[in-house]
Amino acid sequence: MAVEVADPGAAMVARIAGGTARRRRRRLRNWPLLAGAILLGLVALACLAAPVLANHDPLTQDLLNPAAPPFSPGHLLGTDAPYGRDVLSRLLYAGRIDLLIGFGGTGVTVIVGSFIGLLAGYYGGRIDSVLMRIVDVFFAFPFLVLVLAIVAMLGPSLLNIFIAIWAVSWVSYARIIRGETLVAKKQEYVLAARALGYSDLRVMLRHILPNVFSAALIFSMADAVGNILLGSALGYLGAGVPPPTPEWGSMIADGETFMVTAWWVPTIPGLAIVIVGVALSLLGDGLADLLRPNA
Amino acid sequence: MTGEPLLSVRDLRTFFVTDRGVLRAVDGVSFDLYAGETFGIVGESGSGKSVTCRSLIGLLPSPPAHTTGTVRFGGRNLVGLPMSEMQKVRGAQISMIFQDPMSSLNPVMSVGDQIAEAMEAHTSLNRAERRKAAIELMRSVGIPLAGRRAGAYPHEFSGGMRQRVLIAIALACRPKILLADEPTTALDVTIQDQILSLLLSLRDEFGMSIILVSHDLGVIAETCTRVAVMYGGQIVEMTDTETLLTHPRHPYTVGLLRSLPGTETGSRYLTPIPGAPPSLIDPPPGCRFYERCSLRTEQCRDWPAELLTVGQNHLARCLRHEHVEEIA
Repeated sequence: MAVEVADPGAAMVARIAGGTARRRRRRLRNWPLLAGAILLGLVALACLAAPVLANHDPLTQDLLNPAAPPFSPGHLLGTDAPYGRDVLSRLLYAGRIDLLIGFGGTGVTVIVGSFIGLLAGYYGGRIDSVLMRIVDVFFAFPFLVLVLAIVAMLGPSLLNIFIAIWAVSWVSYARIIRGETLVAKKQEYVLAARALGYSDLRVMLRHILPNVFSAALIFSMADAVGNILLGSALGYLGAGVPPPTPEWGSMIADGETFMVTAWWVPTIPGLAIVIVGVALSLLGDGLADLLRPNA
Repeated sequence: MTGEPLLSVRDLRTFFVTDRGVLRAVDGVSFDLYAGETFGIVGESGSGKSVTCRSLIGLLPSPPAHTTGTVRFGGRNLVGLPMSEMQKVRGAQISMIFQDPMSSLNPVMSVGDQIAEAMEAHTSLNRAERRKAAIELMRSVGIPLAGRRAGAYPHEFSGGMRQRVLIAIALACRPKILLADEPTTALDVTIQDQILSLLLSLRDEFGMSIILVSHDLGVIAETCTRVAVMYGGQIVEMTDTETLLTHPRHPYTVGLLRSLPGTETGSRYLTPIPGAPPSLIDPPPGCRFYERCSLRTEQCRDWPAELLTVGQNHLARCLRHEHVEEIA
């Protein structure tokens, strides 16, 4: 009698082999990172190329042609009311300022705040107490009120908005990184690094920071959106970038009145903020995956 | 053993300040380490063997740890050495490997980079040379496909392979001394054996000395030339491995030997040591093993409990060491 020798594993290999290849392709792609980077890259590129792409001066008024709808001749996204300025041109120039506030504000605070948090968490003791009490003082004030107070004191300008953001929002990063550092510094690999004679700075920057930074980075993506909105809010309150310089927030505020008759005037800059927000959060997700190879 | 010792430890004391009092984790430990030997420190949990090891290179946070005594190495005392000087000793001249290979590697750095980093910190090799040396080291510790695996992350390695990586990191700067703190405890027995023989062959290849800390007398017996048995923060017996196994002169050593599974003893059951070790906060005066000792007499309780010379190169902290043979 012939005995049929069947390998029950063979069928299984055949069944899942295609799947693993697919999975590998998918993992390599890291689509949130890619999508976020592409989306943000396009927006940033468009804003940088504003002098080339915009076919009108963002400040030139055309009082005879206000509230022209999108796809009007010469005005792809229409004109605003009541001045008749080209919405596309304003949108692109505004993006330059908003992205600058988003990245300039966040970039500095994430670095400074993380380093302060690292110092506090790693050394602990008196250094930690002093730094964290300062953080507590900042947290005790409502964020917007504090920023508003600083801007009001220094006078409304782009630089002063930066100064206000730098002064206030490093505290979130300091607190996030400090908490993560407290956990990470107890890990055996930190002890092992110290046993290898690495300096405190090397242990902090090469061994602790890469393991804790993803939390700050993900938060920074949300924070960048927050800073863009903050720039807009300040503009709305008259403490932002002085008019008539275009800025997404002030475009929304100005167009608000015409929501019913010219919906595109406030809606289009709003969509721009949404797109940047989505791009940044996708980027945050993607970076988190990239930075944690075993997650 | 003759000649100048490589490392000379005298009256090493490491105490911890705790809420309940001062804990005397290491209480007057002295030993010498000679070039090319493997010195074992054996004892149960809390006997102070790991703390001894860490105190040698000042790894314990202070406070709460306070260390006194002398650790003479290369003409200076490592105890109280300024941090910047100590950092030049650690990793470069005295390296350490730890118990848990799963958590002792940085999870977000490739293993090749982690090996190369040790050289970055202590040598003037350039990036390409460090990378080449790292791959070479991976080969010496027996990691297959070293060139390809250098870019892999720790989670892609098994426990045994990770311990090999840790050994490669520790040896990257060719240290004179390797402190191995329970290097095989987290590994299964077959891997344990491989790692131990790897350590011994690397010891000869690199010309270094090893201090091997273990709770497992079997591991010590297999690898060490000389052994110190620790109990309650003190060395209770110290001699060469052969003598320790055949002619122990401290009742605690006898207890350790009898709790070891073996075929040659003929006994079907392991004999545990009754009782528990003493608290190291305000430890009792006299012999610290008194409560658990089957040979104890009234004298043992208020005896200064010093190490006595009981044979050639054989020390034991027991007043009744001559009677130990009776229970062995």
